[in-house]
Amino acid sequence: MNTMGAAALLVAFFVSLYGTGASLASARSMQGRQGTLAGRRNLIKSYELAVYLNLGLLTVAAAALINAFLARDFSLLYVFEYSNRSLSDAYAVTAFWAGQEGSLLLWAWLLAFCTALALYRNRDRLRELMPWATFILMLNSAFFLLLLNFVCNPFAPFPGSPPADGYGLNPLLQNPGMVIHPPALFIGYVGLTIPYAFALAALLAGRSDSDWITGMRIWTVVSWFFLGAGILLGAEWAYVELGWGGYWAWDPVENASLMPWLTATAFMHSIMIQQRWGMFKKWNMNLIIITYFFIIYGTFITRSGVISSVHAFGKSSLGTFFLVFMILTLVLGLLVVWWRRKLLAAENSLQSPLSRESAFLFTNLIFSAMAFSIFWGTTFPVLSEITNGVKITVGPGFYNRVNVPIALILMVLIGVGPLLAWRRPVGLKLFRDLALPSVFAVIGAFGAYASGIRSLATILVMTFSALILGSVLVELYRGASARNEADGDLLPLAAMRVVLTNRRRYGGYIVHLGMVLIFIGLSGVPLSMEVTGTIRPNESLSVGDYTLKYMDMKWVPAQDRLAVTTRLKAFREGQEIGYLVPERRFYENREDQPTTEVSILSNWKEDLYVALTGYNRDGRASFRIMINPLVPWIWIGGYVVGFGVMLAVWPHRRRGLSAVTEGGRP
Amino acid sequence: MNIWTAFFLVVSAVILALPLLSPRDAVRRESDSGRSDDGRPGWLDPEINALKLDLAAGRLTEEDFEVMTGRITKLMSQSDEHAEEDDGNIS
Repeated sequence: MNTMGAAALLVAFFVSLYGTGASLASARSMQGRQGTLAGRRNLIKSYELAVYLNLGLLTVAAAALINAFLARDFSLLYVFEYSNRSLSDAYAVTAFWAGQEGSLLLWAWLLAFCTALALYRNRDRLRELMPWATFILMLNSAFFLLLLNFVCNPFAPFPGSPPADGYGLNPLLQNPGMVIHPPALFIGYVGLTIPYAFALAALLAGRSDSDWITGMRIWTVVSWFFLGAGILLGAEWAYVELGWGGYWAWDPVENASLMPWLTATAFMHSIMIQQRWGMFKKWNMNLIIITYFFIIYGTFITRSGVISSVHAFGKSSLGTFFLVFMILTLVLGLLVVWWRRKLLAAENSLQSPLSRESAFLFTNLIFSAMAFSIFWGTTFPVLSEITNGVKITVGPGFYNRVNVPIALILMVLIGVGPLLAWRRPVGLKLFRDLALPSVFAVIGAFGAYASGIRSLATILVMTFSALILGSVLVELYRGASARNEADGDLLPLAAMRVVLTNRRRYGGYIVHLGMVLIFIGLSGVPLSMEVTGTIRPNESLSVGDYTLKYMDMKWVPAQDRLAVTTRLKAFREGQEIGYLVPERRFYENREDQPTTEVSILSNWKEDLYVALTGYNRDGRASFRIMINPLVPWIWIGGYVVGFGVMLAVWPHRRRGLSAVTEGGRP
Repeated sequence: MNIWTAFFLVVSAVILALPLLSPRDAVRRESDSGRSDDGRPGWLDPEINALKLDLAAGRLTEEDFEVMTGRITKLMSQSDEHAEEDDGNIS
C-alpha cells in the first residue's frame, strides 16, 4: 500500500505538470484561435481529465498514508515520528496532518479537490477563463507535488529496520480543537486560491467585465468562513491547552493566518462594489493577489523555522522553496495587473465621501491597514536580524496599540455603513435612520458603565456593538415595513419573508452581529483578574467573587498517559457552584513535556479558569486561577457567524422576481 | 520504477491521450450553465431584490436603480454573448 501511495504521488506530479502545460496551450490557442476547433476541444478535454486524474491519484496517496497510520506501519519514517501503538485510532488518523509532510499532502489534496470542483461548476459559465484558471491552479499543484516528492516525502522509509513502536503524537495536538483546526485553515487557504486563480485568469484572458465575480463570490465567502473558523479553533485550543489563560498572543503563526483573513474580508466586501458599479477593479485585483501572497507568506513562516513559535513546524529546507514561490507569486501577479491595467479602468467614480461605496472603501482601507501593521510586526524580527544581526521581537503591546483604535473605527463603519445611501448622501434621512442606533449606542455605553466596567476600550466596544445592533434592526424594519405596505403582511411575517428573500444581505448582517459578539468577547481582556498560589488540601484561594477550596489530588493512569488530577470546589459569594478538575498529563515517550489540561466553569458573563501549574508529592499544588470576563461570547459569536454565512450562501431557488415590492416601489 | 508507478503512468497516459486521439467532438455543448428555463442566471434575483430593498428604504434613487439593474442585466447578457459567440464558432 505504501509503494502504491508513493507511486500515485509521483505520477500525480507528472499529471499536474501535463495539466499545467495542456491548459496553457489551450488558453493560448483559444485566444489566438490557433489550430482546428476539434483540436482545441480535445485539448480542453485532456486538461480537464488531468485535473480529475490529479485528484484521483492524490486520493490514493492520502488513503495509503491514512492506512499506514491505522496499521501503525513504522516502516514509514513519518508514521514513526507522529504515532505510536497506544495512540487512539481517531488521533492516528489526524496525525496525518501533524507534521510537514502530511500537512503538505492534505494541502495538495484539498487543492486538487477544489480545482476539480471549480472546474466542474464553472466549466460552462466561465468557459473562456477556465484554461487560464486551470493553468494557475495546476501550476500551484505541481509546486506542492514537487515538494512532496523530492523534498519532504511522507512515504520516505524509516532508515534501517522498522522499530517496534513509534515516537508518538505531540500531546499538545491530542485535542479535539486540533483535529479540526488545521483542515479548517487549509480549506480557507486553498479555497481562496480559487478566486485568486480566476481573477488572474480574467486578466490573462483579456476580459474587462466582472463576470468572474459571480462564480467566485461563494468560494470567497465559504473560504473566508473556514479560515476564520480555523483561527477561532486555534484560539480555543490555545485557551484550553496551553494554560496561560489567554487565547491570542500575537504569535507570528497566529498572525500568519489573520493577515489573509483580513485582506480576504476586504476583498469579499469590495467585489460587491465592482459587481454593481464597476468600481475598485484594480483594488480588488491587488487585494486578492496580496491575500494569496499572505497565505504563502504564512506558510513560509510556519514551515521555514525563521521565526520561533509554539504553533510552528520544526526547521526544514522548505523555507527556500516557499520564499521563491512567494516572491514569484507576488511579482508575476502584480506584473499581470500592470500589463492589463487598461482593462481595470473604473466604470464609475465615487460621488460622495458619505455614500455607501465610500463606506466600503474606508472599511477596505481599515482592513488593509490592520493587515499591513500585523505584517510589519511579524516581519520585523526577520528584518532586524538581517540588518543588525539581532532578532528583535515585536510584543503584543505594539499590535494592541495599533489595532484596537482601528478596530473601534471599523465597528463605527459597520454600524453606519448599511444606513448610507448608494452614490449620494441623503442628509436628513441618514440622521433619521441613525436616531434609533444612536439611542442603542447610548444605552450600551450607560449599561456598560452601570455594570461596573471602567475600561474605556470595553465601554467603547459595548457602545459601538449596540450601534451595530440598532442599525441592523433599522434595516430589518425598513425592509419589513416596505413589504408590509406592499403586500399587507404582518410585520413579523414580513420581516421573515424579507430575510428569506434577501438571504445574502441579511446573512451578511447576521455575520456582522456574530462579529460584534466576538468583539464583545475580546473586549473583556482588560477586565480579567488573576491569582496564583500554592496551597495544601482544604486551603482556599480567592479571586473576585470566587473562592476555590482545594479538595484532593490523584494520580490517574490511562492507556497512553499518567495524569495528576486535582479537585477544587468553587464558591461564588459563599454559594457552591461546582467542581473544577485541572490536570497535568505525562504522555508516553514525552514525559519531559507535561501538558496542562485546564478546567473552566462558564456562565454568560465570564469564565472561571483554573490551571494546575505545579504539584508536590506532599499534596501541595500550585494553581493559576483567572476570571476571564466575556470570553464565552467569542465562541458564541463564531457560531453566529457560521449561521450567517450559511444563510448568505444557501442556494437561491428561483421563482421569478419575488421582489419586496412590485416594480420596485414601496 | 516499481510496478505501481508503471501502472499509474500507463493508465494516466492513456486517459490523458484518449481525447487527443479521438476525432470526435469531445467537448459538451452549452448545458448546465446555472441558468433557469428562461435563461436568467440564478444569482440575478437576490441582486435585484437587494436593490429593490434599497430603493424602498430610500437609499437608492430611481435613476440609480435603473442604472444598477441595467448593469446587472448587461452582465447577464454579456455572458450570453460569450456563450453565443463560442457556439457560433463551434457550429
